[in-house]
Amino acid sequence: MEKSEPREAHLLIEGVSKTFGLRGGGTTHALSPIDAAVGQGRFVSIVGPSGCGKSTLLNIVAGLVKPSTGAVSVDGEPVRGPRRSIGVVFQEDSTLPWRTVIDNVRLGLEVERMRKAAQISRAREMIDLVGLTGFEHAYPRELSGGMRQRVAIARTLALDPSVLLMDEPFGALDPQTRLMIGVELLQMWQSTNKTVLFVTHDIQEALLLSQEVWVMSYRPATIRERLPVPFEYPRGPELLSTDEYQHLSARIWSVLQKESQRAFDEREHLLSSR
Amino acid sequence: MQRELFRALWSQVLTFFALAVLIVAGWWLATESGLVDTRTFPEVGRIIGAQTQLSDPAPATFLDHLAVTTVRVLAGLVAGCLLGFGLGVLFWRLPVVGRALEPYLLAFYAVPLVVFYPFLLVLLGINSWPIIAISTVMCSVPVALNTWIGFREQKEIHKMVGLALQMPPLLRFRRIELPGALPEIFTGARVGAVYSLVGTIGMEFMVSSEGLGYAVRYQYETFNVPSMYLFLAATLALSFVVVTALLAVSAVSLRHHG
Repeated sequence: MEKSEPREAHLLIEGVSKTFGLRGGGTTHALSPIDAAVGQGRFVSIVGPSGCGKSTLLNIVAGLVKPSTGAVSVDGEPVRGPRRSIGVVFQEDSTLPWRTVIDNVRLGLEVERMRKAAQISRAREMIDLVGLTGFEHAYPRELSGGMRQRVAIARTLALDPSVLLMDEPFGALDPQTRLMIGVELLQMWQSTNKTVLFVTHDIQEALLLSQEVWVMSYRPATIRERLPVPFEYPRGPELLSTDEYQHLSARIWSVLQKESQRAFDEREHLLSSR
Repeated sequence: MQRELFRALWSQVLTFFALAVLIVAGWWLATESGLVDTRTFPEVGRIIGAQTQLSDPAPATFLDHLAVTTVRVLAGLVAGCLLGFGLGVLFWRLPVVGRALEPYLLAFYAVPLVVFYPFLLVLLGINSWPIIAISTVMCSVPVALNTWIGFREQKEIHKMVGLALQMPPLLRFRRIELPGALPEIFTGARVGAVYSLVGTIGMEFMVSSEGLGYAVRYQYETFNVPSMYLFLAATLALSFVVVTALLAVSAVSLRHHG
């Protein structure tokens, strides 16, 4: 199944830049002004060298960090702080260890002043969606890393955001689990029609999941390439051996390699100048 | 977390009873074999029977003294935990106040708080309140410092979750920040319980006319050695029960903290 191209932007990033002040004085330019747009229901992956500012960009879109310049808007509404229409899934395990799976999933619903029965019913729906039925009353320590990450996804989806921001959500998982949970994420995305912005280090993951890949440069980061991914869903392992896939993967890799080399040289220079 | 706490709890209980049995057995052997002077180390039977031979000036019995000290320790512990928790939250919300008061709080560890007794006597009168006040203050210091640490060193990811879900401050406090800080708060409370016991029994020893501390001093000064040992044993048993009960509460409360 291939989703159709959007007519207009659902998520708009206009001239967003970020400069951080350093403790010992001076500044770091994390992001150069970035302009980008994502259509409703699109799945976009962001890849880039380590420390380039992918997470900063995602946190700005989430409203968790204020940009130095520029603005983000969802459906024309400016994002000035965290909001219900934007859900975030973090890389780190973000489940609360003292709450059961169902209580973790309904955490955001408690903000909504929804009746407890309604919260539980909604949480059960989401637990079912992420394939954790039967584990409602388990505590996070009783679950695997992949299951805990699914709890975090369910908690985010319970609030029914129109934009889902995922910051290397499978970064801490083993390759097999990543693959499986990636397939489940695609099913969830296809059934919910969310707009997804997905940060990853893994080119293969980006190409198997998304409709478009943004390749970011090293600091001050900008989007160096925006590559549409033309493959039909479902994308099975046979895709990996096609010329088109190899060509796209090589193209992303060549940009990443240059930028990673620049990042490495800069860090070496910094270390040697100390 | 919960496994370590339960392990610590069981090890504490087993160690206490094992040591108690060993000490009583060793004591019995030493006294029965004539290895030690029974005027200084009376026979086990005389110590156990001492309760019925008390020659107190007041009509207080063994259980009265035990009850007085227990109430004082628990009152000091509860009030100290509440005061310490409030102070810890205040320091967390207003770090400038916390940083300004931290040296004074740390100094409280070193100062024998009994020096404040005359002032408290004038303020609260000759009764249990000055002792409870000292016990409260002594307990509150570790609770305040640990509560502050607990809130200050929350996991960054949990803070981000609260923000991303737009949780109002009070809900965030109840659902994320307080449960996250609980392990540190309980650690502070366990240390606070020890301070509360030291404060209460020390004060009773020096300035009170009732309670276990007073009874130990009185029996010692009147050369009623078996009774003195009985009250010492009761003091140790009370300390053990309070500290172990708090460890049990911690273990149960933190059983899901990963």
